[in-house]
Parts: sequence; structure tokens; C-alpha cells
Amino acid sequence: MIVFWTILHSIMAMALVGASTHQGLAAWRKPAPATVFVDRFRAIPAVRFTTAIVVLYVLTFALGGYIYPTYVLDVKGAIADYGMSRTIGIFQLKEHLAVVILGLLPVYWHFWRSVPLQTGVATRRFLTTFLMLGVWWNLVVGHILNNIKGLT
Amino acid sequence: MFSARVFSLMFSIGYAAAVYFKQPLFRYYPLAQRWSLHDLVDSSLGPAMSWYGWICMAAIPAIVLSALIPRSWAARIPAAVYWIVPFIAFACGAYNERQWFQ
Repeated sequence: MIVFWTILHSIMAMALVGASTHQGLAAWRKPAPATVFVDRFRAIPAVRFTTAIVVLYVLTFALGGYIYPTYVLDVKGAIADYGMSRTIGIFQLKEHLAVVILGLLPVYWHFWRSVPLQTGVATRRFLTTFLMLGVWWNLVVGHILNNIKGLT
Repeated sequence: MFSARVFSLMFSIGYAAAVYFKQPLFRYYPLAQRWSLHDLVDSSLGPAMSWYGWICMAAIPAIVLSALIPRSWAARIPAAVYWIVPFIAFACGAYNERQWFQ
């Protein structure tokens, strides 16, 4: 069953990466006609992604928290036995980054949904970009770690 | 009644402090499937997980203060704070994990 939850965690993380990347790049785009693919990718109403990102993040985080004890017992010890302490350290950073972003979600939602879009642009961009890069980092680290030693 | 600005700020500060001072609200021992408010110094219980306890340690004051502090006060918090505090919280976490990189 833990494999199912791990795969679901990964799938939700990929959906989250897609949504946060769309929004992250759209947040930096200046209004202009979208002619090439990159512009069309960014020319979306970024505000509409906010609730989906928050919900996806919380669900992905909760699933990660649920499978975390199995990781500690089955994977962390094995990787330590391999002598790959830096790999463990990088995963530990993922754990902290995930919590920091979780704590930022209310203010991130606030700046997208409560603050007028004409104001607070720089802070909105920062929060969105921080979330996007953090989600990417966590997905890549989780994926690599799963390749080294997956949950079984 | 709920101030998102205060919550995020206090959660980040609370998490940074909890991790830096190694003060989780509780610990979880996955091998024994046991929760404890204290550090049980018993190797037969397996590794202790502080992560859930750190999150709760950060969340409780954040929830209380975000409910108590008026939004009008929260609106006066400079936006730059939201840029800096996440990095401080992450830095505290990274410092806590330094033994893995030595």
C-alpha cells in the first residue's frame, strides 16, 4: 500500500509543479500579445491557479507526511549504510523547505486573492517564484532519492 | 478574524526557533509507533522523528496570534519581511542538518 501512496504523492507533486510553473512564469510576464509558445504558456490568468496550488500543495504535503515514517525506517537507514550522508542531508533540506512553503501558503493566497493585483506585485512575484522553485527542488530531490532507494 | 500575514510570519519564525533550539512539541518513534512529549532515550525504540513536533510547535502560536492580532495591524508589516523570513527559517533548518554535509 505504501507504494500506492508514494506514487500518488509523486503524481500530485507533478501536477503541482505544472500549476506552479504556469503561475510562476505568468506572474513575471508583462501584458503583450502571445505569439510564440513560451508566451502562450505564460499568457494565462495566473490568479486562477492559486486555489488549485494551495489544495494540491496541502494534499501532497499531507501524503508526504504520511509516508515519511516509512522512509525513515526503510530508506534513511539503508542510505546511511551506503555511506551517502549528503543524500540524506539533501532530503532533510527538502523536509524543511516543504514546511517553510506550507507556512507561506496563507500569505501567498492572500496576495493573490485579497490584495488588488495592481499592488503588491513584487511580493506576489517573490512568493510565487519561491513556491515554484521550492516545489521543483522537492520534486527533483524526492525523485532522485526514490531512484536510489524506493519505498517498498 | 484570521490574518494570513501574521500566520505566515509567525509560523516561519516559530519553525525556525523550534528547529534551531531543537524543541519539537512532541516526537514520534515510527519503529515503536509511539508518540512522546519527551525524548525517550531508548535505542530499542528506533529513530525519533521531530518533524511533526516542529510543525505543531510553529503552528500553535501562529494560529493564536493570527486570530488575536487585528488585520489592520498586520497590514502595516513591511512586505520585505515576507521576503526575508522564509530564508531565515530555511537557513535554520539547513543549519540543523549540517552534520550530514561534514
